[in-house]
This record gives sequence, structure tokens and C-alpha cells, in this order.
Amino acid sequence: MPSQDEITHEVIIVGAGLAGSWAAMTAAQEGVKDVAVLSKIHPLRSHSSAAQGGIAAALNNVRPVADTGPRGPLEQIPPGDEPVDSWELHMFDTIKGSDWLGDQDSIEIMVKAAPEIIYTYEHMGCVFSRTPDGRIAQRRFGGHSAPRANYSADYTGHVLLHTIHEQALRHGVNFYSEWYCLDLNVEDGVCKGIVALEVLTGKLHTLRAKAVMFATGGYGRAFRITSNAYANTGDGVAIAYDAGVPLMDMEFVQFHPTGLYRHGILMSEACRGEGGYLTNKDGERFMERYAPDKMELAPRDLVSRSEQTEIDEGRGIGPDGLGIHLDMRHLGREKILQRLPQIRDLAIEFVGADPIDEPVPIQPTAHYSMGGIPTNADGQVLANADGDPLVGFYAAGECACVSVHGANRLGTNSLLEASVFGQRAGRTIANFIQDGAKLQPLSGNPGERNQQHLRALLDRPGKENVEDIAQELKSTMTDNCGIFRDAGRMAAALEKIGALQERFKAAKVMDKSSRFNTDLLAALETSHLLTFSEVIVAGAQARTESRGAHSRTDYPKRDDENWLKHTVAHKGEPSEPPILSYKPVFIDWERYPPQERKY
Amino acid sequence: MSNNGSQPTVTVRVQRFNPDIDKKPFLQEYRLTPQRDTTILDALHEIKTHQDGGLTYRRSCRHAICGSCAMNVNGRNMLVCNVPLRKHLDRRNRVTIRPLPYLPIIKDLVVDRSSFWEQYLRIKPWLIPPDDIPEKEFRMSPQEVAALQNAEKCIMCGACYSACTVVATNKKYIGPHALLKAFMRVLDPRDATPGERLKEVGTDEGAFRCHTIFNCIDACPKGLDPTKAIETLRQLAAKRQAFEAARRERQKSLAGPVPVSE
Amino acid sequence: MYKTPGFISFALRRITGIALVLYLFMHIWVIGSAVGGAETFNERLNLFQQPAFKVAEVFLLAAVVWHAFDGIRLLIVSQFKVTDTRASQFYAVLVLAALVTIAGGVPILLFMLNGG
Repeated sequence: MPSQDEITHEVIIVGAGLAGSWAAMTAAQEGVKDVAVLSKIHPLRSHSSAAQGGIAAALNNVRPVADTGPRGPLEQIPPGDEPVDSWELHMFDTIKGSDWLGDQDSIEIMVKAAPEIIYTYEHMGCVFSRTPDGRIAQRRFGGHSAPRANYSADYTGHVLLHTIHEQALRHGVNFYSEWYCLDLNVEDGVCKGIVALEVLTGKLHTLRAKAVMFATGGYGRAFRITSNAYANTGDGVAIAYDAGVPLMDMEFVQFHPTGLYRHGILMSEACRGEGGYLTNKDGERFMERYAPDKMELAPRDLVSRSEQTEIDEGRGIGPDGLGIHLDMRHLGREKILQRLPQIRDLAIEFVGADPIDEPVPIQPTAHYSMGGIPTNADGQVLANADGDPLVGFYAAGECACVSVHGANRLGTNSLLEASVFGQRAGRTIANFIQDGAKLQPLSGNPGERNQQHLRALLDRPGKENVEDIAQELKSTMTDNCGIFRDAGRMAAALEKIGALQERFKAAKVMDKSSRFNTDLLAALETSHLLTFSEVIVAGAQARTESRGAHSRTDYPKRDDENWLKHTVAHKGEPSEPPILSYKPVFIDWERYPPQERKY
Repeated sequence: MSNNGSQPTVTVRVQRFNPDIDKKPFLQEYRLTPQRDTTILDALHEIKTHQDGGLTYRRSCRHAICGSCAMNVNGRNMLVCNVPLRKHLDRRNRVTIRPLPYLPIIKDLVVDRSSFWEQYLRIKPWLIPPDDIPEKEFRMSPQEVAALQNAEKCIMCGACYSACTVVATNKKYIGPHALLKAFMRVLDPRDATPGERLKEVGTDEGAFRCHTIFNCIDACPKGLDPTKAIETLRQLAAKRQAFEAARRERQKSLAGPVPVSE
Repeated sequence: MYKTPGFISFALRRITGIALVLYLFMHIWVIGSAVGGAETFNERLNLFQQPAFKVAEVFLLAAVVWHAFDGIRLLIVSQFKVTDTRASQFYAVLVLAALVTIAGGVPILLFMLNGG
């Protein structure tokens, strides 16, 4: 590999999705002159673009038509009429959706900031679907008690990402496209920079900054059936963990109920928000038995568990019985073409089913990572369960855990979280720099260390196939730490992960060239999958209760007395398990005390 | 034994080229036994991970929204993640995959898109709003959204740019992708600078350089129509001042409800 | 080059356009000789009565006709933004041009075959 060099910036942000781009733009707006964003893929390829259904805010543009029931049509609210929604309601829905594990102070910040952020997107030129009188259109979504999903047909994330990227460009943000972050430099509780690989040339660079932020996204690729892009390998999460930063609530992985059968590709919750049904092989709308009130619009963890139960009990569809039907025929041709065009194309292209004419086969798919790098509501990364912030290190978006989603996320809240906390982190960073933060000297030679690591990876003869190791990991995570978990299977998963980590030491990188070596990247990404998967299973195994997306057949009840707390995991000694500690949840006992979670 | 839908063995011919090592591009053949629903991207993934790790291409979302995987398959540009392999086999069960044409090759199927992004930046893709910003959203009617002709769906994949004969022969041409984006901003009632935009793109480096060849429409994986957008830009450029005046008028009522059509 | 009906149409447009310009020069060369009197004019004109040039005349007709019809097609497409019938447009122009070329070309060739 060619030799390294050193680059400095005021701020370096890793990840160019919504969170990273908002932070970059905000920092630039607040006067930080030298903002750099690294992304291992071109910024517009970030997975934020895959979000479909909408972004939540209590704008009160739309309400259900009177006396038409919970699946009836919606109409715009005439000016002066009673609002049907409020930030308080949004807050309650989010808290309940999180199964009371969300930090309520952060949730309050997020929902209060929601309308402003949507209007800002719109003022920045984002193309939304509209009501007849020109306001932003809203639809129903799972777990929300009012229609507050602001949408752009069924490609909301796509329009939001393009809009914020354009604005970041307008504000002079430097984008390092196709630069892969390898390592985080944290010394004595202070973050000093990163080491990155320039994919084009294979050259290593040591980047120093006064502030570093990770906005690296989620980690769904640890599972076999996932809605996530190939790129979502949790690199930031693993790198931070390896650098001594703790990870929080990793065991909470959301399985989205409607991924395309066998592919896992997302079929937006909006399909159900617009009125779609879920049926089993007997044609029964089985959600009646699991969530009689909200039915298909119960929160995702509940619906996925219901689907999985139907499948496990033999009522699934498809040749292997692992699917469920998503029936949208009754929505009618016009509504599907108008509001759900993308998912129709996907259903036709990938499973050969036109939702206008037939039910679409779907199955639960690993979708969102509630866990991640712990931060406070200002985007500062925390060093421990006591909440002490690290100096100069920030995080936002799916890779972070504030926590606003707790044990389960409501749909449309992720686009909101990434935007709100990305913006907040940008402000915090700007203040930090303008208050006189200094560029920290490096004591070791992280560039050299990483160079040797890569050299070792490339040079060793190896006999193991990287993809095979990855596939075995995905299988064990899906089967043994998926929707339903128990002590025995999780123990098997941990053992398997240990064995795979051992085998990975003999993994072979076939491409030895310096130029655009994506084979090397795949190997690095697989090592990251192995790193954080262990943390997921360790946290899940320790948590002897069921809450939100973490569901155990051996501990089926929620246990507030012992488990109303966040899991914090630090990397242990080599070959030792993660060191677990626990952080209290911020709860307003007067306004939102924990309740039973029924839909 | 159950039929899992597998097909006979196919030959995947891929153009390889590493400028550091090879003198010129060459076609390499791989053999593979796909499933019925194996996409071309799935096939590339299988080859890369189990046969030849050096085979290099861009990809991410695998469901046609990120725009990474645009390539040239059997002479036509497309995304490879949402097309079944079996649909693109010739009579000898072969498929030929090359990088997007007319762009410098970085390695194998990865091309240098610098000129593509430069043109995108050049037309100022961000909205330039008026000075008067309301507290809530600008009002934009569903008809005004429809007038954008789905241009907001564009994923900047480059299939159109790299299929365009004018792009191939003229280094200064703005390109269908950027012209489509410019069209979207020109028609957006919230943009306060349609006149400047039309001046920038209504030139012989822009909308008037298009020769109506239509390759862009054929290539677009999202079914978009850059040619129609370009023709609209041409017509608007001819009536620029009237259009600017109409926009100023429209912007007076951006904060109030749009008239509901009967 | 990226080969589609649209590209072939563009290529033919360029080729016929150049051919027509070249023809124009030749035409001026011939007609302009009228300035030099009837004899010069007839001499030049007779140069182009040979069978080879008669056949070339048919191609010239094809070029003119195709170029004209494609031009009209472009005017219609630009004015009315017709972009969804791309391949059909191309073939329609081809067919029309072929018909007119045959209609005009047959007399030319008969004239040639009957010795002028």
C-alpha cells in the first residue's frame, strides 16, 4: 500500500446521510469554516435514501374524516378547526413505542423540534406530497395515534437526503467521497482524529480534527434477511467500540414486518398506513388476535412477532411457509400508483407480484438498530454509564443511541431523529470549536499501526472465505438472536461468533491490488460484523426480560423492577466477553410513568 | 428432489481493466449456476465472493434507490440490482457486462464520474427561495408537484448521462441528469431564480445542445423523461421574461392556500 | 456508440445533412455555369446524366426526403414534447421516406433505363 500522510480539518464527520449532512451544514451555517465529511460511498448513495414512508411531526395538516373509523380516509384540516395532534401526543406514542426505555427528556426535545425541522426541509426545496390546499400531506403510521407521517409518495428518505446534500454543498462542505474510516484515535478520553483509507488509491491518511463525529448508520447486515444496504455493516459502531467507546442497547434490533419475501427489501409501513392488510395462509387478518385495536398499525416489533408466531405455527405462505401476505388490492389502482409507486415497482421486479392485482409475499426483515454509540441530547458521545462525555467525539443518527427509540422505534421517527440530532450535534460542535477547542497532538502513530494491520490482512495466505464466514454469522444471528430469543440459542450464537472470529484470522483477501480494493473493504466490514454481533448477543443474553424488540421465550414479560435501564457494553480484554454496565432511563414519573403496552 | 428454480449454467462476461496492471480492457468469462430470481448484481456478488475477489463494482442498497450500480449490460445502460439475470441472457446463455460508456474507467466496472458531478453542481441543484419565508410550509399545489414530472425521483445513477451521444462527443454539454434537475428547480414555484437558471441552461451547452436522441429515456431505471424536461426548458428559455414575471406573481401567495381546483 | 433508433436517426441526420451540403455545392457548380452561356451549361448538365449519377439522384432524393421528414418529426417532437413513441417515430419516418423515394425514384430509374 502507498504510504500515508496527514490531513487536518476543524471538523471531520464520518457518514454523509441525513445525520452527517445536517451536522455538516449546521456547523457551516454557525460559522465553522472547515467542515469535512467522509463517506465510504458517494453521499447520495447513503442508506437514508432508502427510507420510504415519511418523517413524523405533529403539523396538524390532516385528520381522519369523521365517522369513518381507524382505516377511513383522511382530509385536510380547514383553517381554524381543532387540531387533532400535538407534540405531547407524539411524545406519548414514542415513549409507549419504546416500551418505556426511551429517555423522555430527549424524546421531548425531538418531538418539539419536529415541526420546525420539517418546515426547514420544505423551505430548502424538498418535494413533498401535498393536500389539495398546498400543505404537506400526512398519512397514518404504525404506533402513531394521529396521522403525522409527512411524506413524499413512498420515497421520503430519498427526497430528504438529496435536499440536505444539496444544501450542504451550497454551504461549502467538503465531501471526501469513497474514503473509508478505519480507526478512531481516542487518547485519554479525548478524540483526536481518525485514520482513513482512500479507496481510489489504497492510500492511508491520518486525519486530525478538533471534533470528530460519527454518523455511520446501522448494522442490519449482521442478519440474513435485511432491508439494509450492503454498506450497512456497522463500521462506526465497531470502530468506536474497538477504540474503547461503549455501545448502548445493542440487543434491541428492529425487525420490520414487511420486507419482500426472500429478499428482505423494504415494503414501507405506509402500505399498511394507507390501509393494507396482513393475512396468513388461511386468508385471515391475524392481527385481530394480537392487537385488536391497532391491528396492522401496531408498532413494528409487535407485528413482526405476530407474523413470526403465525409462521412458526404453520400458517405462513410461500413454498417454505416462511412468508405472510400483504394485501393492498382493496386500496385501488389509483391510490397505489399515486402514493405507493416505488413499492409497486419493487414488488413486481423482485417477487413478480403486482399489488394492484394480488397479495405481495413478505416476511420480517432486520431493519433498524435502536442501539449504538451512546450520546446525550447534544450529540456528545458518553464514555460510560454515568454519562460522562468524551471530549471532541460526537455521534448522531442510527449509529447513535440517545436514546429516543428505547426498545423499539416507531416508523417515521428515524428520519426525524437523524435530522434533529444531526442538527443539534452540528450546533454543539460549532460551539465547541468557537469556544476555543484545540487540535490535539497525537502520541502514537495510528497511521503506521493501521498500515500494518492492512498489510497483514492482504499478505496472509489464508484459507477461509470471507463471504462464507459472513453468511454463517448472519445465519446464526438470524436464527439464534432474531425475533424470538432464549438462553440456549443465544449461548450457541456466542459460541459460533467466537469460532467465526477465530476462523476470520485465516480469512483470505483475494484482491491484492491497491486501486479500489473492495475485496479488502468486504473483509474489514466482515470483521466489524463479528465485533458488534458479539455485543448484541451478550446484551441480549444478560437481559432477562422481554421489552420492545427484544423478545425472549424464556422471559416473556417486561420486568421494570430489574430492567428499566440501558445496557452499556465496553470492550473487554482480548478473548474476554464485553463488560456490561447499566445506565438509568430518564423517566418523568408524573407525566409518563411506565404502563402496560397494549395495542 | 425439489426444484429450487435453478437454471442451467450461464456465462457472465465482464469487462476487466486495472490501469495499474493492464494495458487495455479485456473481457473475462465466469461460469455460474443462478436461481430463477438471481439478479445481475447477485451474480456479480457470487462471482466476486467465491471466484474472483478482484472483480470490482459499486453497489449498496440493491433495491434501485441509491444509484450506485448503473452499468452497461449487453450494450444497454441499467441498474443491475433489480434486473433478473435470466432476462438478459443471449441464445448462448451469456450476458456481457461493461462499465458505463464514455467515462474514464477507474477499475473494472467502476468509472470516474467527476464530469457528471461537476455538471450537477454547475446548475445549482439547491433551491434558492425568495427572501420572504413563511413560518410554516410554502404552499405548493398537487398540480404544481405533478408538473415536476417525477423529476424528484431521479437517483443520479448516471445511466442517462453515460448513454447520451452528445455527452460522448461534447465535453461541455451539461447532460440530461443536470438538465432534469435544473428543470425541477425552474418549475418549482418556490424557487426565486428561474430567470438565472434559464440563462444558465438555455444555452448551446445546455438545453439547446440536446439532439433529441432519446437514449436518456431508454436508459433511465426510474422511467423519467429528461428529453421532455429539456424541451420544456427550451420553450421556457424562449419566453424567459414572461416566465420570470409569472413566478414573481406566484410567489406573492406562497404562504397562503392554493386555489383548490374544481 | 450507444446504439438505439435515436442514435441512428441522429447519425443519418448528420450524414444526409453533409451529403446535402455537398450536393448544394455541386448544384451551384452546374447551375452557375449558365452564366457562361448555354454550351457550358449543357456540357456540365450532361455530365450528370450518366447512369451512375441517375442512381445517385435516387439516393439524393432519399437523403432529401428522409432529412425533411425527420426534420418535421423533430419540430413536432420539440413543440408537442412527444417522447413516448420513440422507436415508432423513427420507423414511421423511415417508412414514409422510403415510400416517397420509391415514388420518385422509379421514374428516375425508368428514365435512365430508357436511355434518357
